Amino acid sequence: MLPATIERALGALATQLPELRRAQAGGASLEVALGRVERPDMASGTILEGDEVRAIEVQPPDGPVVRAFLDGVQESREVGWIGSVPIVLGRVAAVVRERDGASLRTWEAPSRREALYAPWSRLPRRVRALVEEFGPEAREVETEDGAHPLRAMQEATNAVKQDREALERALAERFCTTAEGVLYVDGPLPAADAVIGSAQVLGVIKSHQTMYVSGPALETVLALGGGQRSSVFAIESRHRPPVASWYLRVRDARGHGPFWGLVRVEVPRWRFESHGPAIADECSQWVLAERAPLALPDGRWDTMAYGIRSCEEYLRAVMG
Amino acid sequence: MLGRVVATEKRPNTPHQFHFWTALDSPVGIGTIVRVEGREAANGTITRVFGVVNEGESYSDLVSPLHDVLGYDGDPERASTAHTQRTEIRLYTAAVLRQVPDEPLQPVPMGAVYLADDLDVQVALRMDTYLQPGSSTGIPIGVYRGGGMESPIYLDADFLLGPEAAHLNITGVSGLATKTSAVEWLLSSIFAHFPATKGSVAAVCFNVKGPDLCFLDQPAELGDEDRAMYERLGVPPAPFQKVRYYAPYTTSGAALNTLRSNEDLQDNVSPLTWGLNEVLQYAEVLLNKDDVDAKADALIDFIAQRVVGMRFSDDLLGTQQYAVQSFSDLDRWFKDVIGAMESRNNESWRTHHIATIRKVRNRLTNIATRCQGLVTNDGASSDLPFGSFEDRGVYVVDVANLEDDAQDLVFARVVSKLREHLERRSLGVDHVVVFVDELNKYAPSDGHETYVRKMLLDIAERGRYLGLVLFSAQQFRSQVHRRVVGNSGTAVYGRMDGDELATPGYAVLSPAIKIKLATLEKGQLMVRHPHFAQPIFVKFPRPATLTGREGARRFPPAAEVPFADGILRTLRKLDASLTMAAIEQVFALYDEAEILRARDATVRTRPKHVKAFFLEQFGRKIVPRDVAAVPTPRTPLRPTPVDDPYGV
Repeated sequence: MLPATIERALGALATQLPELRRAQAGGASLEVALGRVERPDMASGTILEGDEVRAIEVQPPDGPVVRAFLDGVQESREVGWIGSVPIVLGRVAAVVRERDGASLRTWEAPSRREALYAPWSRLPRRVRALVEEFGPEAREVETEDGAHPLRAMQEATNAVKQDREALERALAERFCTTAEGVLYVDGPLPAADAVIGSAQVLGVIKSHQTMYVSGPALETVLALGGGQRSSVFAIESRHRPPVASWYLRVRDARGHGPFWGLVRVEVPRWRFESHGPAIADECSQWVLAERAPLALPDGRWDTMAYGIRSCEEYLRAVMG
Repeated sequence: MLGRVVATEKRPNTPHQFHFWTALDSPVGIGTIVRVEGREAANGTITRVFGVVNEGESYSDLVSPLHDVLGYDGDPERASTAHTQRTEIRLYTAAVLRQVPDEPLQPVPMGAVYLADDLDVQVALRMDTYLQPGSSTGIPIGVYRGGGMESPIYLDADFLLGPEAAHLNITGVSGLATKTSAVEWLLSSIFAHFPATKGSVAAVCFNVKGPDLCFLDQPAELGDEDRAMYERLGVPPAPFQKVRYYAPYTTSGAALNTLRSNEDLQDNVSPLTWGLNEVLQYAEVLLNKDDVDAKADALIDFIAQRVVGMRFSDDLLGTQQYAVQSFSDLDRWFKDVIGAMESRNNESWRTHHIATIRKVRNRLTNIATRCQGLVTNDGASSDLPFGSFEDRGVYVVDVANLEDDAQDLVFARVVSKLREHLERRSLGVDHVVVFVDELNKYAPSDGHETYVRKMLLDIAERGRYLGLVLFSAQQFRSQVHRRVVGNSGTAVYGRMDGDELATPGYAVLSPAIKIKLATLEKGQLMVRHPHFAQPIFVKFPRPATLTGREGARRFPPAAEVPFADGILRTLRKLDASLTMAAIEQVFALYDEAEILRARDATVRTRPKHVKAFFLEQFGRKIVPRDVAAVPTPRTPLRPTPVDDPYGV
């Protein structure tokens, strides 16, 4: 079911645009329906700690240090077509859930955004004007003329993802500039100066479509035991300042595949340069401290902190 | 704000029930009264809904308990010190007490939930309809406590003592004194609040076990909390002011058969004794229906109408005139009738077969034995003051030590007399509350029909029109006749037995209400009343009267004394200066029956000169003994000389 505001806008639009074909919004989201899987990739990281990637034992955590968790969600749905041009409803939200004693509560207001994504430039100008008149924001999706119509939907989904990342980035930036305490970000560290400049943020990546080690180092990483981390390496990118990163096995993977319980942790590189390997040990302890309670029934529970699941559950509830 | 109403397709709200969640630290519990403020107007009015919490749930986002075990590697200690707790919900279900406005009656809307305050509680329980200033018929039964609130709860006198509805039934396990305490407290409350416009009210209490009701006129020590509750509810924290006790004699007849026998408490204790006339009217109570057939019934009627209390003669009996007043008279009469029939070889007399006459003689004379102490042999009675009952008076009939048959007889006769007088408006008061414990014994749900059960059914169904109100109590409501408890407009429950709660009569209660009932503290009750759409939990103060146990400790029963001492003790209640020396002569000359007869006559008459009256009951026989006691000198003594220097 669509949000009432969107439903009203689409209804009004349909009366003005007889050529608009409404699509049922039920069923799976486009993220699921398009079944797009990122291609696994190898990338190189520069080893910062020692000469080679080694397995390093992390001391058991004393207790929680993480103050808050940040995560975002997105959902894209096909809501109509004008000729061969799809119109996609994208909804994104991000939230920080902070610790209040042993409970988690929402820090400030969650960020939300919803918009209709389409290659509006390929449609008559009055169509976009009408959409904007009835409320929802109209977001342009870049596609090539003559491309497969589903390509436009994929691009719309990408645009939604970018918007979600933007929300997460803004929220992380706000937290890092106004709040105190360690922020545990689900995914790579957002490319924002306030975040990268913060001494109290870490990113935890659960999926490993891109591996930053190869050869014997990869073997070492995949063989990490529970509570072990790899040596620290640097990741450099055109899109953000360099980060220091390492792999961490948060749960014993015996009886499971090599990626089970494996996360990659990121902190701003300057922190490694300031503190050396101790920062990796310290941050690893913080992550290990979040192993319980389990994030079950989420399928990614082996790598997901309960605080992140709490963010997702919260966002699911507020997005309806 | 306390919480928010929630509803899902699987768990929808209805006009009679709704769900809401609260913060984990909210003061809501089972029995809490809440108010819902609707968001949308219906017919231009925002709906307000009042409900009482009758179920609660708590759960987290944990799908399987195994997940928790895995999360803490099977170590509960680690789980107890977890630094992150799962998201948890407190979800409550409330039964609707009232919707304002009443129409249109719709499902409970989504909205904010608030704790009910005093005014809300009044509206929720419709007490606002009978607590109007100047015309209030509210009788406080206790305070509702919820979320720090303490609101008085009132019953409607019109629905407690009639005429709209009446009667109160209380159920609870034994040993917590809840049932007795609740009734004592409620009687105090009725006496303090029963509106003058409704007339006068008194209570008759049957003490059926131990010293339970033996100290209603003695003050208890109350704590500050109880005193505050008395003040909040406007009831004086004092024992009953007008209490009279009635008890039959012991089998020896020397003393009253009651645990209120301490000499300091005898001012308001009177004997309860009935003669043949009184008992015969209720012979049905004591006679077994299977044993006494229609023929025997006919003979009993004949005796009651033609023999007892009047002069009787018959050709069979020759010239002998009979004036049957007592059981002993009756037995003599039977003896003569049967003797005359046997001597004439008659098988029947006045259509009554000799076998029937023998059987009736056996059964009737047996009553005096079974009810010894209650039934007098001289035909005289000492009874409750029917006709001069006092407003706010309490009349306790102590039958705790009587046999079951005798208890039935007392109960049947007293209640029947109350009914008769109320019908004639000649009792002395307009309303009388009859309290009887162990109702399951008198009106059981199974077993054969008895006189007492029929009478209780009659009171339950018709008593409210007369002002005859039954306050009954029992441990197991399920074992009481359905129509007796069903006709109780007000039902009160103390702590309940789990097995009892499992019976079908409690199926309407939620599991949470049942568990609360099974664990209620002393002094807490669940109340159902015609104005309350749902049962409400209240707390009531300790009665301001001594409990039976404490009373028996503070006023120990008098030790059993020899016959003569017992007689003297009874007479000294009328004249404290009386000594044993003054009356001891009668114990040597007369048998116990004669002495008891004289004692009873003295007690009934309450003469100015007790000793003289008592001795007069023995006629002239006393005098010769006095005279005989003075020795007659054989030879007169020589007169003292006038000038005798040793004379005085």
